[in-house]
Amino acid sequence: MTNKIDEQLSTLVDDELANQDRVLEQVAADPELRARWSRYHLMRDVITGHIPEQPLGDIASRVSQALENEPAILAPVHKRKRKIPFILKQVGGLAIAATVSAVAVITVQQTQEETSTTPTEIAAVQPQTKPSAQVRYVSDTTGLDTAVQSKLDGYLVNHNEYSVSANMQGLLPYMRIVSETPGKKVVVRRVNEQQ
Amino acid sequence: MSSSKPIKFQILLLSISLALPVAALAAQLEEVQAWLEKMQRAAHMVNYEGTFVYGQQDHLSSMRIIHRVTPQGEQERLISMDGTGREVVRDGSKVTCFLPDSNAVVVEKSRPVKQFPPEFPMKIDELKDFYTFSLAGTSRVAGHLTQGIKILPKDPYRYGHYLWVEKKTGLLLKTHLLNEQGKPIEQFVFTQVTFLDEVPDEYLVTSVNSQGFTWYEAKESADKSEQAHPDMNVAWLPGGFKEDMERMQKMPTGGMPVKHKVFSDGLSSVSVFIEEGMEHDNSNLVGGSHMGAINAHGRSLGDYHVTVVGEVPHVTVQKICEAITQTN
Repeated sequence: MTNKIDEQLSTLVDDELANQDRVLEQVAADPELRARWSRYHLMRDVITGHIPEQPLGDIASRVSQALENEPAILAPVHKRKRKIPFILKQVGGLAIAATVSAVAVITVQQTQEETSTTPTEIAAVQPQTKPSAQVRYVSDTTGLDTAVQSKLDGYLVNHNEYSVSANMQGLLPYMRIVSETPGKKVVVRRVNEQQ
Repeated sequence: MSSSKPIKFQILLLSISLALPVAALAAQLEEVQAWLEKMQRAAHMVNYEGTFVYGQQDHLSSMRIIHRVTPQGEQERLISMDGTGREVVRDGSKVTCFLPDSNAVVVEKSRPVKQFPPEFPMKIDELKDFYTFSLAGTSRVAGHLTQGIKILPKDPYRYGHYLWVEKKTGLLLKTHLLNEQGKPIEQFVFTQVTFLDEVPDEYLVTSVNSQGFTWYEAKESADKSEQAHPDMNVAWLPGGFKEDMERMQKMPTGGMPVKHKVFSDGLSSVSVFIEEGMEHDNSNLVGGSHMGAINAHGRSLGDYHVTVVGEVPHVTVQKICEAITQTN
């Protein structure tokens, strides 16, 4: 049943459902379905590369709820103490499911401890390697050696500090630092050194 | 004789029809320039607090920002609203990153501010050979009316920008960084923003309890080590790219001092990092990698390792990296 309505919802979002009215009635009657309905819309927008200009009503209210629940100075915490699942995180998680995602962040302490556990062939760096003419990229999901990743992250922070477009936008350099993804932290293409 | 008049008239018409679009284009360029200047001023001169969503590739995160301008400089606090709650607090040129996920605090000196308010680096006159600038209509972002501006590259070595600038204050409320296919690869959009007359002190104090965290502090290293680094010549750069800056830098997390050069066309920039290669050092990037919209490419060069990083297409960092030679 749930799966069926899920499927119908999804088709409805894509404007491809024949008996729209019945599903719409169901959606209207069920708050959970309504929430899912708005999530699906956001997911579609995210997948097609359009974050909506106007956040959907439900999401806007959840964002403000999340704000209230944050131990923050701007909005005093009201009645609710329970931590509300953060909608954007959920949606992000769902939307990402198809592709393993990763974002660069500063990783500070892992270098020494974790180096030995990472697959060594990935970081088969020869000190005198000549630049290979055939640089070939493999899948984005391949892991980079933690040490390489850590150094790159440092470079990233330094670059951002001096980046013109980041400077023009004021807050962008730090946005890239604060943003974090659970799991893998750097999307990697690696060089095939065999040629 | 009677035919000369219509011909003259036709020429007149033709010249008008040719001149009009040119004039209109120039007028639009001027208007874009005015908006961009307003936007750059607002980024540093407006007090505000807001919540925005930041997305790159298929990852979304949500953050809160507080920005305050004082006679001494800018203060800023950026709070991640998901994950472990990272925070960055900037006070003038001192940047402190609180990273609860690593039990670490990283303190960095940001780019030294030469003057305050800062100057506005974007010069359309110099950029218009490499980018097309156009106005893209008005729309609402986070409930505020914005002016859309499109900046598209004329060659494959740079990314494009789509900007939504708040009409009254000039604050940038939404951006898309566009790849070679014109698709957004990095974007942020405010969902709520409030312009403030005064920002209370406590808005800028971190809520991260950093007790027991390890502190890392970056140091610009002395000039001694600079001699240790040979001069590198960058034989290829995209049109309009010039050297912006060069410095020696020690990474806050340790390691050898690194020479850091920045090249820029005034809108996109690329960093070149040159580091003395240590034997069996497996922390160097060989080949390409990318972190969201930022591409990187690295290779060894004699006793050194070169890494090029920038918010430009991968082909650009790769070409620059491969064109670096040692001059002595």
